[in-house]
Amino acid sequence: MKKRGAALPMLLASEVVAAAIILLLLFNHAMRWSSTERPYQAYLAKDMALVMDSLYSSPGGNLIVNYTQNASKFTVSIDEEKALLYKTGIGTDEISRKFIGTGTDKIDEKLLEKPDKIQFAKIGNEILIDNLIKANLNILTCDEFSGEKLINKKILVDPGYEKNSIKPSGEMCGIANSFVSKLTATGVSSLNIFSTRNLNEHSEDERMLSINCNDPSKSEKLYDTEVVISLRAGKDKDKTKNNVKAFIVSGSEKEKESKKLACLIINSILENNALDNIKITGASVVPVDLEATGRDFPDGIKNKISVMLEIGNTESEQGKLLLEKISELGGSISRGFMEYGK
Amino acid sequence: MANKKMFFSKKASGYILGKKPLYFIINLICLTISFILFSYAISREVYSTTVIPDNLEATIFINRFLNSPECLAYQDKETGRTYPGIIDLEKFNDTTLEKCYSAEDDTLKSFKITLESPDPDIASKFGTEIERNFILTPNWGARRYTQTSQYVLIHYKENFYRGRILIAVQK
Repeated sequence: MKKRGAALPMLLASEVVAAAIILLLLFNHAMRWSSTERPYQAYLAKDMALVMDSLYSSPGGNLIVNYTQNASKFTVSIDEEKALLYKTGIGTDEISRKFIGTGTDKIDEKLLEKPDKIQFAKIGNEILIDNLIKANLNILTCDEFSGEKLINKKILVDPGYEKNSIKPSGEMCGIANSFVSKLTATGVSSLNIFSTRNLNEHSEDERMLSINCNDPSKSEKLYDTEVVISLRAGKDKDKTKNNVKAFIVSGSEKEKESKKLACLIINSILENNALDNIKITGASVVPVDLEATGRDFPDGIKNKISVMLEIGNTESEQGKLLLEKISELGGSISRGFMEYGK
Repeated sequence: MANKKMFFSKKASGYILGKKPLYFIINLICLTISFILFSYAISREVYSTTVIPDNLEATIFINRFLNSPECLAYQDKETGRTYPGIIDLEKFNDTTLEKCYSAEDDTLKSFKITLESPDPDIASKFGTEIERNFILTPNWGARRYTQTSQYVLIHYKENFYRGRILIAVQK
């Protein structure tokens, strides 16, 4: 009887303690969930997951989404499959919502702590999330293929030449010379650079190479080169257009290499800050059938790495402005060229 | 009053002590169940305040199937240009769909996409060159579904054909 009497208060006490703990947990849980921030946190997580789903639905091209909801009270983490939001403090109080990605697009995961601003972007096959995304939306998505560097290859520079009494664009010769000079400055041997036009005479000691822009005729010399860069001025009756196009030969043995080089050169032009004040309305790599095209590709390019750049529009104001940027264009083409194989 | 008497009476104490393990266990179970139910009720309430309309979510995924080059949209191999709303028949298989919507979780939306064409050239391809005229996401199951349809163009071997796509969605 004595033992039973002693056990009773102990049992009651333990029961009261257990009930108190559970009540405390319930109260804590209720307070957490009934907080006005909790539904908002859940809403943000779901909304961000929907933004991710929408990005995956975009039909190619590059885009940046400015996220307009205020997530500055939370830490935001978006990985391959979910958007997770939590508040840092005593214990993490997290809410996540799933989204469904594709096998090809990669997410650049980043943790954003109390972000004032969030931007989502799809650039090529990469999805970026950051406070402020510094990405050029206008650049092309180049193939991931990586070829051999071109620095030691024989290069034919073709700024266009007089054909059927049609004179070549004067600017193209300037751009070609700028390109050649930048190439030689970055380590390409002048002995490996050739042109479809006649070169200026230089003494051998000077080791300089430049195209004679006063002579528009075609050079009579034939060169066996591995890479051909042709430069042409664009001409479009539509005065609103000012495009940069790169024509490559469809069905060529080196089509893949040409496409990559064309893409790198175009991107280098589009990323040149010195051309920021000029409105370039479009850029593309266009494969053409060598037999059917009316474009004057140099002879014997069928199975070479070959790119014909068509720059600007001689009929539009913006196009003319672009064509005046001789040194900038030459530098950009050279940078794109050297980027190949990296 | 009668209850009070019983609780504080020696008899009642004897009753409690005699059944103490059972009473304690039942009490604990009841409290735990009430805790779980209460938590569930609150979390359901919070979820209900953030429900996204079903149509919105389904539309986003339908757009992905029809517009994304990783899904069924036709993409010109030479120029890399994607043509939204034009279905590439060569991509119309479960493997492509799984790559573009890799959901195995039953809690996520599941889809069945059926392609129809009044053109006999296309209709005859199903069961021969193309395995069948419908494809399923990995999480498709025997559950209730809603269906929408949309007119599309079908691209197959450099030709374009008229067609209609039926999209069944399970929650």
